[in-house]
Amino acid sequence: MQSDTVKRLGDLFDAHQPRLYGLARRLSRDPEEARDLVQETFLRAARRPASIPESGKGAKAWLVRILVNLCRDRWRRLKVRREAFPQPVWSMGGPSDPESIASARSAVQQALERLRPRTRAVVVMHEIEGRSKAEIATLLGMSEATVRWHVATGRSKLRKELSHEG
Amino acid sequence: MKADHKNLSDGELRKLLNLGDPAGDGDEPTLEELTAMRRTVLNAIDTSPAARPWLSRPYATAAATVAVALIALTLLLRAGPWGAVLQPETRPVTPAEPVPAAPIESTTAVVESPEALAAEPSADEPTVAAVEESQGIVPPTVEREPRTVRFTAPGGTRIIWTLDPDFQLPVSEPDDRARGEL
Repeated sequence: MQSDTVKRLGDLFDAHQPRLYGLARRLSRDPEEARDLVQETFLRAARRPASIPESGKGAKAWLVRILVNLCRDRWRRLKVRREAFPQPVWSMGGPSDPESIASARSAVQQALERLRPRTRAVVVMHEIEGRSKAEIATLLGMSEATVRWHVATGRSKLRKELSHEG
Repeated sequence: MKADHKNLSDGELRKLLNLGDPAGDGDEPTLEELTAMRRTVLNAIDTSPAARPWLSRPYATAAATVAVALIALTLLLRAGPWGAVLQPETRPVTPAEPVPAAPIESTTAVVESPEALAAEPSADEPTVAAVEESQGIVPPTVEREPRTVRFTAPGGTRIIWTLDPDFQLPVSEPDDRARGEL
């Protein structure tokens, strides 16, 4: 019985770890935090193996929700410190300019951090990962209308955050 | 070069987000880090009783149902036949306590000694029950226990009735007057 659980969890880790890490990296501040988030997500699964849905899609959605909830918990804990951050300042040169890329990355990172966790997750999955609204709704367990609301809210806030006049 | 991004279109915003994608820094976990993480996760698999599937909700529900059924069956077997459950409480025949000589104000009960109530009819006279049994009207009774009815009269007198199930009225020949009416 335990060997079945080990094999299943191992398969889940191999199948979903790369994408979960990408999502975690976009929902966190640095690679170290992203690794912690991914590991904590799978540790939750290891502590409650019976809670993992049987189907592949269900298991994927379950893991994504765990990850987003972990991000939300961290966001709440770090809210005070984050609010003390200065407004991002960046300049945009050519797309291939390494300095511009680094500047844009820093600005986007800080702008994303000012979004609420669910809005941030929806925006990242839709705008960066290219997922459809229906797929996001399934993964996060919300309606498509809610996803559209998060996308609109996120875009509006990002425009404001990325504005030098904001 | 600085720009005002207040009027970024959706497409421009998407380009900007992809340009500044935090996951694009290439700082992904190494193979060693992934192996260590995988090992940590698999070592943390919970094997406590709460995580065992055979103790999951369906199994627990089925086990509880079987337990309740067994308890109910045991109680039914102890109660015996259905009629036994419905019978009133019976008590063994015991000599009645001496009744105080207080006057009975308003009751129709008659206090009698158990000996008188338990008096057997004479063997010479056939009883109604004996006649009915001989004619097959009622099945012969195997065992009968006397029943006791206890109550207290308004004056405080305690009264005990012992009802002897074997008590029979003697069968007597109809008198001449009754025979004449028939």
